[in-house]
Amino acid sequence: MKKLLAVLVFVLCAGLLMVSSSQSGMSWLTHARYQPNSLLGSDKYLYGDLYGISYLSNFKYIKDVSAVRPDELISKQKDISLYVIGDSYFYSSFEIIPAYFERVNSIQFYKWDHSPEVKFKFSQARTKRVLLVESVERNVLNLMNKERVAAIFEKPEVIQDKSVFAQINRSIKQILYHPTLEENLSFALFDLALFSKFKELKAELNLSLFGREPAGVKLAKSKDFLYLDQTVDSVADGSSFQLVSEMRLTKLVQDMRQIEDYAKKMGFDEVIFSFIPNPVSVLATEDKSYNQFIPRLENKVGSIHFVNPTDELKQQAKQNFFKSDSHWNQRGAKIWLDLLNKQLLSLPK
Amino acid sequence: MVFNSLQFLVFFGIVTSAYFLLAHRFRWILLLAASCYFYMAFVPIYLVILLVTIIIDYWAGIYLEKFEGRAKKLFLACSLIANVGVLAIFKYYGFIANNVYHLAYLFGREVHLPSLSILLPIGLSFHTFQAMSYTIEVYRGNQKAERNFGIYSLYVMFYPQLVAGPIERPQNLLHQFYERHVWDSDRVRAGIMQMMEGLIKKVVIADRLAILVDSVYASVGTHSRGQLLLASFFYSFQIYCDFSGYSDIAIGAARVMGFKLMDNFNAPYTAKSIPDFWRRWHISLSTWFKDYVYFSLGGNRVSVPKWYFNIMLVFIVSGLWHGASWNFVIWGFLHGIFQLIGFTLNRFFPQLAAKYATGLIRGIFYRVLTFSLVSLAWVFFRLVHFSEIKAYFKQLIFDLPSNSLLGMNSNEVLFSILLVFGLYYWDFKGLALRNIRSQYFVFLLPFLVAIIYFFGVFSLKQFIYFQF
Repeated sequence: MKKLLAVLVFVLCAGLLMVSSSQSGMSWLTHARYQPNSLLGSDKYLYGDLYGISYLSNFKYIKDVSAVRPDELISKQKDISLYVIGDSYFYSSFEIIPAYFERVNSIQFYKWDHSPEVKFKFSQARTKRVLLVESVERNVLNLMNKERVAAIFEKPEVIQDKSVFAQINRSIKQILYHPTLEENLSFALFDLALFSKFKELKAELNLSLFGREPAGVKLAKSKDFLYLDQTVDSVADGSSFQLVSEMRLTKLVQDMRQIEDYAKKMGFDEVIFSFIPNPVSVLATEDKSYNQFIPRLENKVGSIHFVNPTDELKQQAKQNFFKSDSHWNQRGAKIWLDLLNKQLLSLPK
Repeated sequence: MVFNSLQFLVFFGIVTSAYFLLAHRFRWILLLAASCYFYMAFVPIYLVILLVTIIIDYWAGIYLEKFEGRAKKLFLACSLIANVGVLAIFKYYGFIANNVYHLAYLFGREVHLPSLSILLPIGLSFHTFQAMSYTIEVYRGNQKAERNFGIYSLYVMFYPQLVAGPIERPQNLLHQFYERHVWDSDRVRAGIMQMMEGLIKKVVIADRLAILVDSVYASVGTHSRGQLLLASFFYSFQIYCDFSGYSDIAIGAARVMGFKLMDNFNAPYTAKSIPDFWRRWHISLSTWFKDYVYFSLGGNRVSVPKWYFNIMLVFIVSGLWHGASWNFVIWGFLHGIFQLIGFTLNRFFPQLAAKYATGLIRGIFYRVLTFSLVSLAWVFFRLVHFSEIKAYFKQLIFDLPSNSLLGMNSNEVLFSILLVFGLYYWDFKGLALRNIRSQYFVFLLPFLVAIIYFFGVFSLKQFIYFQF
């Protein structure tokens, strides 16, 4: 009996370690977990990513994950190949198809967090090549520099400690210790719908008793929205309330110009920048004043093509965002799409 | 790999189950491999440093047994120099270089020693002291030299106590690797309960107190006197729960497999004097210093000035053992001074306290006084820079207006205070989960898991003593 128990513990733990330490194991587990309506499945993102972080039961709304439905387009001319460098605001709302975009006959999407090996493939057809650089407000200062964009087109030089010791360290770490092992184990062991009630109870206990919100999440002052903590915390980078100096904005515009110049040298005809405001910038639920990052930037960009959906999103703002997710909903995404299409239509032939 | 991580949970499950499945003769190999894996999870290459000192001490042990007289002393010296040398390079070189620079600067000269950009190997002070303990004991004839290189390596590297102790003695640990440990349900239960007790201390108490402590100590100059006192009070218990929690998990994990490690804490804040505190706090280190440094200097069998000097030296070295920084020296110095004041008062006024108080009041008075002195010294342990120490005491004395927050609401402060007093009562009564009756285990274990889950703070915060 004791031997059997030992064998059982060994097999369970070793199996868990093997699955959590391998990419294929985690892919298999993730796929299995996201089968709907199962107690052994995961409901982490079923109700919105911020619910998945916080487990605050008041925000347990099923999230509509369907893509925005494309409208009928005005232009019959299809003379643009669209290349998008963007984030989840883009890919979680739209299918990567040209049907959404005016004048677009083909589209390629590149995620900011893709590995540098993934490259754009230029189409040989002589169409207008347009690069759309999209990012959510909280990441703009981090992402907007020429080197970051150039890394997408060229093989970046990876600066690593080349000493023998450092190389041995890296090799051993790679072989024996998966870099996200702790997160993987946490996912494998506890990311089950079965445990959601316990997680909700803990979250409620901490909030009601200690006034402590779950790490990474902030409850709106109006209590009806969840935000990413980073976007509300006045001292965090990317916050809607962090002071951003005029000098920093001027530097950002210079960086955008450098990116534009670089892209044109790479063969693009036009570059469009679009920065999506943090939900808290638009919803105005807090008693702190917004740093006006995007509107101030818009005033400085001059001839750069810039799509700023802030004002439009502010119209009936609460209908444009999920309550328990860090993204806009289909309505918000559609507002942005309409603005982008106007911009595409206005580009020279 | 920290004890309060899922990685450790899985690692522990694999190693412990494999340990009981394997034949006795292979178990040491499993433990050695597991210990290497555990250690390499931090910085793999530092295993080489450990290996070098292991080789030196292993051969030193064998030669110490073979030779007598001067040769024997020479081998001991070689071993100690190698161990202290590793410590000096990895832990103290930067400190020494910095102080040489400042000292030379005072005399109008600039001396720049070459800089070594090296990280401190985790747990270096712990396993180095354990290795030195081996060669000293072999030298003294209290321990036979270990001939099996693997077993000796395991003595230095045994994973439960590899990175933060308890610092074992060879007489206690080495022979246990040869003993056949069978599955004993009572012992396994006791070990698991001790691990749970350690986890509660770490994630429920220490890491919760750390929220307030970190918030206040991050900017001591902007907090009120009351806030500073509360943070210092909490820090005393944070460091206790953090370190004794680690020790409990280490001892419990070893106990599950049948190993008996020495106790490292014995209700230190119930101590009635500073010497009493040191008999209860980090016992494996304080006895190490007592056995190998204090007694070697002559202990108290010397003239009074020499005795006082010995005490001060031991405490200052003990401070330096914790970290290569002047604040740790001051911390050790303060404890030395407290000891000397205590001894002096006892010597010249033996009836002083008894004259003014009854037994109960005297007990409370001495406990509060001891705790206050220890907590005062902890301020120097926690604050590294002199500017911070200055700001702390300036604010403590003048209580200048401040409006900084504690990082906790009043409910959480109250809850934390309840935890602290609960722990104090638990210690005072000498309670221990490992002593719980076996029939309660099935009910108690899920209950403790629930306590840890619902009231724990899961930030994967490192154990404070890992840095030493």
